Amino acid sequence: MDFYWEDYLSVYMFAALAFGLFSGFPVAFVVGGIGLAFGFIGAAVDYFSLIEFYNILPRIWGGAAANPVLVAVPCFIFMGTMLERSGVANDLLDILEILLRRVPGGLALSVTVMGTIMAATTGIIGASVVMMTLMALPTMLRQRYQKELATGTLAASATLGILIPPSIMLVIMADLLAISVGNLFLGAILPGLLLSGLYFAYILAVSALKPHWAPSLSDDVGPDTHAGMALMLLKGFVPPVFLITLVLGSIFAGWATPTEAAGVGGFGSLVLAVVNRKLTWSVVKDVCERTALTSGMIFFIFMGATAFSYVFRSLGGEDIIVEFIEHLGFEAWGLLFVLMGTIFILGFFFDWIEITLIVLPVFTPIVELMDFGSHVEGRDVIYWFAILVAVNLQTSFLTPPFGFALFYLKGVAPNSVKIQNIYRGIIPFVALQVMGLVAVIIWPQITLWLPSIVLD
Amino acid sequence: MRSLLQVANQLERFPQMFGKVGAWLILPLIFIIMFDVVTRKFTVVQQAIMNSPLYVILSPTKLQEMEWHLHAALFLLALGYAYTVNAHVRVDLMREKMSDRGQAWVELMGIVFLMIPYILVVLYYGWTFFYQAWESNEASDAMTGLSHRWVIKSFVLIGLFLALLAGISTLLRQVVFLFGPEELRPEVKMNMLTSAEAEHLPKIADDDEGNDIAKLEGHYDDSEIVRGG
Repeated sequence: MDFYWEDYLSVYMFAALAFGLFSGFPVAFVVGGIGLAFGFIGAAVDYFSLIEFYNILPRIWGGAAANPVLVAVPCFIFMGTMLERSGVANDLLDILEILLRRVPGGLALSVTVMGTIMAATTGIIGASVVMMTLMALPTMLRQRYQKELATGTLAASATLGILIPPSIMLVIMADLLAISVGNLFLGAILPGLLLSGLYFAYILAVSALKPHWAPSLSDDVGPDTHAGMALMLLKGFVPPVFLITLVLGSIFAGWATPTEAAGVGGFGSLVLAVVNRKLTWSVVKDVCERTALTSGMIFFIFMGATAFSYVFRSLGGEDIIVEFIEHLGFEAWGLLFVLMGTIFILGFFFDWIEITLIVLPVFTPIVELMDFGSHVEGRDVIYWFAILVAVNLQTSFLTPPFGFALFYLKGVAPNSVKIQNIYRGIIPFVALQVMGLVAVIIWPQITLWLPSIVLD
Repeated sequence: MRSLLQVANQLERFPQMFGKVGAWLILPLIFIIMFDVVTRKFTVVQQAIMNSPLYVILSPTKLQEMEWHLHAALFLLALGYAYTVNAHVRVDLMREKMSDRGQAWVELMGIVFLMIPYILVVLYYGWTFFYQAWESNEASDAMTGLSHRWVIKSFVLIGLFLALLAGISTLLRQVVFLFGPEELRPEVKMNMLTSAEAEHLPKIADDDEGNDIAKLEGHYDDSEIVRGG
């Protein structure tokens, strides 16, 4: 077989991409710039026609702009940011602490529950880690929590946001994989609860065995009377739970599409801010601007990735990957591990935004070919795969030495918290993540059961 | 060199202004969705609207198209704004080990060889994209949809142009930083920082134990989200 270097342009393209990304220049420009550059290189050796560039903008347009599904993204970002800025998130943590003050490890447990409930809200790893750390870490350190336990709990609970619906990562994944957002949300609920349940059990066990790692709050914290307690419960607990129920409920009840539910959630967060008397001009302005910044960031990568994957495909990149995979001769299971391993390693360096937008389109044709016999059948494979990717990515974000949820945590934490504390603290949680991942692989019903009963 | 810095500051103002104004579009977006969902639930209201002259502007098709129009305008206007405040994600692994000069070189090369060519190429093809919509007076495929599709399509051009301005502004800053006189360097504010320590992120101060309220370094404006005792 003759070797023509031009045949492998798409391979060089990925190599150039890796090089460009590691330079630290913004991902959006690297992806788009390299995509177009290889279009020109391809055109110079007659492997690409410049006229094809005319196809790119309509694709960007149809994929990112004129796409009703993705309207959910800015709305969910708005909702999350508003819940944070209006103090709703903070009130929730307060009440959880008081409720759990007599339980060993109460504060850490509060963080887990809070992560599970508020997971809904931002879905951008960096932002949620920063938000949770700011809210809980000072209190935990003041309580003389062991630094390892405190930071491990924080990082794990904050990253749950990409998995537990309504997560914007799931919205974008569903859009790219051409599956239903509502069903994917349903499929993610039990795996998400499973993980937070595992954290909960671990923290409970550790704090019972080593009480000095997680000193309890004194009993005199919080209101003395039952009425005061009830009022606090009402104030802290009801609003966020109501909002999340409203958003998910309206999707599952069929009142609203996921996009519309996101808008309803955004509206709900405004109402809660009014109730909390935090809705000032400066808060609204700040929330709007942060929402715009995050949307701009995500969709600029979306635009670049569209250009990149168009050129990549046109240069025959997809064929090379499929050929390579066939050449490996793996069966479905072997393939699944190869894909999962790749995503796990990518998760060390990249946020889910880059991974889903650049890598998922490349993997999709392979996933559609996989046959797991009676273990998972037909369309279910894609839903199951999407959830596996989500849990896998979350694990990857937590795994030292690169896990970048850990970098964000370190970035916000006081200097007395060393990166070694964070690394040591996260290890048990990574083990729990792996348990959760293995469980979802062995028992796909964890993902598929809820959608199947709701749809019947 | 000082004048270059002033030009950079002037250029940056446009993407920031448009981005900040565009950011407000999220509010009408949310209200329109809410209106659409609620009127659909209460068919009486919907019937009333359908039988009234309001139908011309409030038909569900129009509202739903308006939703993605607003979404598109929102993020397109924010593209450049996000770059001026270093909100675009970077892979920090190598970057945080580089010197300030190294980072400035990467930024300079990236802008010249990747960002500006990319934006210019997309703008070039985007012009045709916009012009076709303008010339054919493209409207929605749906009978009752929105007309004048060129309006929203022009936002692609506006958004990318603003991003180009943000890119040029940052480029000028790198030039001043790398080749300008030493005394100007502190004034070059394009964040020689990793994303994890970017300007908009706060940091919990040390020796917080014993304090009632954690002190924050940096200019994070809301101390209320930091938990007191």
